[in-house]
Amino acid sequence: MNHAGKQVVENLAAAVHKRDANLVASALEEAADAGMNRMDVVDALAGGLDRARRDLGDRNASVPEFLLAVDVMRAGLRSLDGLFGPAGNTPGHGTVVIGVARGDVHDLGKNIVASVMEACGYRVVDLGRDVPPDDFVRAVREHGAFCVAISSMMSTPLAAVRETVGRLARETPGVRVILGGAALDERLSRDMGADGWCENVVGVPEAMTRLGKGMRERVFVDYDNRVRVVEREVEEKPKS
Amino acid sequence: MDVIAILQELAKGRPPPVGEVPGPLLDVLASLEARRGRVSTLSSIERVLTTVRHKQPDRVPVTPILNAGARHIAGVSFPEYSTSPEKAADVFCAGLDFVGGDIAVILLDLSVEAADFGQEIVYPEDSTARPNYLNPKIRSVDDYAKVRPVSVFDGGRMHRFVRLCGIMADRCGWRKLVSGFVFAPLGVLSMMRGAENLFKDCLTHPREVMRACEAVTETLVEFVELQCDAGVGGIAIDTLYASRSALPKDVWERIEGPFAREIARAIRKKGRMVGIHNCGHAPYFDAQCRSMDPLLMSYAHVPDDCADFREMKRRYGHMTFIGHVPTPLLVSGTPHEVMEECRRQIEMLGRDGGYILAPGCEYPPNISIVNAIAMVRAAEEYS
Repeated sequence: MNHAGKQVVENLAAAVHKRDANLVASALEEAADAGMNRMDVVDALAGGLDRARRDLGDRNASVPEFLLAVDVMRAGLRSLDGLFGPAGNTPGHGTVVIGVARGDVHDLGKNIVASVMEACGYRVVDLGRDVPPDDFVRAVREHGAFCVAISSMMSTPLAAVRETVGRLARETPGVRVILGGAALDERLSRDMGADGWCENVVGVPEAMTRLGKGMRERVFVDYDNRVRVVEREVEEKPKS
Repeated sequence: MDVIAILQELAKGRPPPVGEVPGPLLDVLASLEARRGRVSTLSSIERVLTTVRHKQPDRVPVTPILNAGARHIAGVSFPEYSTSPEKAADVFCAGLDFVGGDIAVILLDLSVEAADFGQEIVYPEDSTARPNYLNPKIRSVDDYAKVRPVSVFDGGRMHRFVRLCGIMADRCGWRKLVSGFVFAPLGVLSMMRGAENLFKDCLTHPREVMRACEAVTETLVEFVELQCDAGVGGIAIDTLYASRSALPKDVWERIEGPFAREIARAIRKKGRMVGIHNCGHAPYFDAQCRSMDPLLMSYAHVPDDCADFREMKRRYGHMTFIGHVPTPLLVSGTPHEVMEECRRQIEMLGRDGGYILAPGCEYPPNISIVNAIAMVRAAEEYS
């Protein structure tokens, strides 16, 4: 990529990072004029969101600021077809099915995690909130997902989370399951048979990468002890 | 000192409002109780009042905040618990009688207030009541202007909640301290708008949000006054979004801080204790103290300006802490593990009063109550 192209990439990333939809729109036109390909543009927008994610982890940005960056990135992605033509079959890291467990309607964390997964290059199938175990299983089969991410902010749906994890293990062997949300911790996730747990969005990319490699995973931000991100591989789990 | 208010409560067989009794007199009473506590068992109310005056009670007070978790004991369903003050009172009393604890924290769910502002609520069989987020009352930024104060006397959920407070105050009398509960205005709005949209609106349309906060607060002030009149000893204000999990500190302080102050002032004016409930990560104790000057602070995690719980005790030790057994541990831990965690917390925070053992949030309602019993037993054994 030449110098001008690199500048356009930087403009796109900076626009998302600054949460400026107008800047994104003008940077996208620049990119189209410069003849950039669609995948490079998507990567640039995702790079901006990744900067916002890092800011969140470094406490230089708040949750609402990150949410606005997500909105700006998604607005940019929506306008790509008009400027660069339809997406076609683009390479990615695989498909993730994500949803909030049956009985829970709190989807803020799930939405944030889904956007980061998208930005990381995963194809995300978002089932929304209050999702029954059947729907998770069906979505995995339908979309060929390699991973399922389940969120629960309340303790009341934990039985549904356990049931979903069990059903996925029995009916979709080989699929990785990662849990998150205020009602869960690492131990509980492990007890339920999940392959990973993520306390918040900051550790999602690393958690997903390692899950994809078939490793059990622990990622968390320990606010109590002021440790920003701690990652520890627990054990190898070969994919079946 | 409002002698009439004190006499009125005494005549009803309930403890007088703590705020109506002069501080020096309370300190003398607390010192006497502390001495008595060395040789005999204090009542729950004596224990709690000794603790909040930062004297050493006979043991650390405890509340497992069992609430809906006790509905199995009373044979009450979730919808009945959410809608019938009498049934809910049966649940709270069953929890206190069967499991124990020194305080009844009257918290049903977080949609009590929003329901009366017109938010559609669903009452699931397997969970506490919640808003129907598919049908939010506030669909756009323009809808904030349509939020108007409502009357608590209209027979809605807030009215029934006040009745519940009255029933509990009467049933508990001098046995247990009864605490009311109120969701602060941003919390109420989030039930009507969805948290994600509300958070963004706080950055992009703060004036519209504040205008709605003003209308909601007018009602919440009436709500807390009625809870006080019903006989609660204190009220927990849930400023859920004053935490790094939610809004930036300056944004929270600008938007909700003034309204939270108004609610706290109304509670204090009635002579009741002001408490704050937190369950987010890195709560903003400093901003909350500036706004509400609470006597009690419930929490699940270390505040944003402290390195650990010991520093929290050093910096904010003028308050009484209520916490912080992790709720996931209550779900997955054995009673022995829960008791060990309680012992650790009692040893860290329980010296010289100022600490009430509790979970970081409400006891998970769909699990066994055995770990609630473990908490109460730990308070009895390890203090």
